[in-house]
Amino acid sequence: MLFNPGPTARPVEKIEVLLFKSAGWLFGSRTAEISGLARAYITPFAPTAREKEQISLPPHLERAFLGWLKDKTVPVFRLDSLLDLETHERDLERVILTRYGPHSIGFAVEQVFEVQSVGLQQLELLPPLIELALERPTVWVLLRLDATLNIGGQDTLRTNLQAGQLVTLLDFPGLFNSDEQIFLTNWLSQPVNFAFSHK
Amino acid sequence: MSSEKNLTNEQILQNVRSRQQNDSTTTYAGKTHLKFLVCQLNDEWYGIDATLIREITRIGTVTRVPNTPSYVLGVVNLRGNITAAIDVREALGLERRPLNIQTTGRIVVCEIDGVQAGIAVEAVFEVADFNQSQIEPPLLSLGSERAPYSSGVVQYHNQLLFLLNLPVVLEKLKA
Repeated sequence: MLFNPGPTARPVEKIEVLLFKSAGWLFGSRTAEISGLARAYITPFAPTAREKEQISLPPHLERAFLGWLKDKTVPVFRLDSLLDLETHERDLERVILTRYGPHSIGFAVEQVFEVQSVGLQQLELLPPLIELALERPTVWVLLRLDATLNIGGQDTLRTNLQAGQLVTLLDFPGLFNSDEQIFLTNWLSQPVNFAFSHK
Repeated sequence: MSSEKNLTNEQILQNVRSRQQNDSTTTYAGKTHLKFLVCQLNDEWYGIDATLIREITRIGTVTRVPNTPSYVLGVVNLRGNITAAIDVREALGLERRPLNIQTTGRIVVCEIDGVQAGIAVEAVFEVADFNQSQIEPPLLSLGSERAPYSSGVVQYHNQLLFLLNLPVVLEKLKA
């Protein structure tokens, strides 16, 4: 008997999105290049005076810089600070790791939720008025939830999201302007112990 | 009816374009009766040209967007239509108090030069009709600071109703 695959339905194109909170705001990002980590792994940023002389970060980055992961190869920045949101040091619980060219960058956030599979038809462009007003191209698209969602896993801080609610999906490279991107690329390309290593 | 048949498609299009252009303008020449939505911002009453309004809705859930200027409240989903929610008080030099989102607050969705904007207001009252002759030039009764953002003022229930020139207000906010 021949195998009958049945009527071929048009495949629904989907992407995976990680939802997370920063400074009380709900955001999402494609999971393709990211993963979550506990914050406990961060090495605090405490350069010596000599180390401070060796390198100075652009102000936007310096304000947001928290420390290092993985033997000082992965810098970690506060996402709330990069997004110019109100910051609460105590709320930073998790780190999202993103690919940055051949390197990685971490962003400290308040809470990380489950990965969601969403259809491309749920993605919406920013209204033109908002697109024009963006001071940095940090927003990729908006995600329109097509059903009520209860997120939070085993976490006690569960959140109910209503159908129709919009979630801002971030574009991580957009957090940095062109000068900062050049700086980061050069900085991360240096030997591991270039900047803030403790000798 | 028969005269319409003689119009070419291009002539009809010109007619529609011209009508839409007149609808979106905030100079009221040639019109005798004008309609304005009366709404409240802080403790003052303002009028929004009714021809610009597409719908009025409760404020509901506003999704904030980072890295935007303070006049951008965020985005709202109006039955699948994603619209920017804007606070125009900054352009008018008004204090930014919290809006009554849960109670009387509304978003007045307007279309200005083909761009949709949801103007957040504290309350809406009614659509009021005025005669052209009732509308006074703004410079006579307003300070020079707010005058550019008004297309006129009119007496309304013994109060002064400030008619918003929304295209100019939005330009000021975007600048």
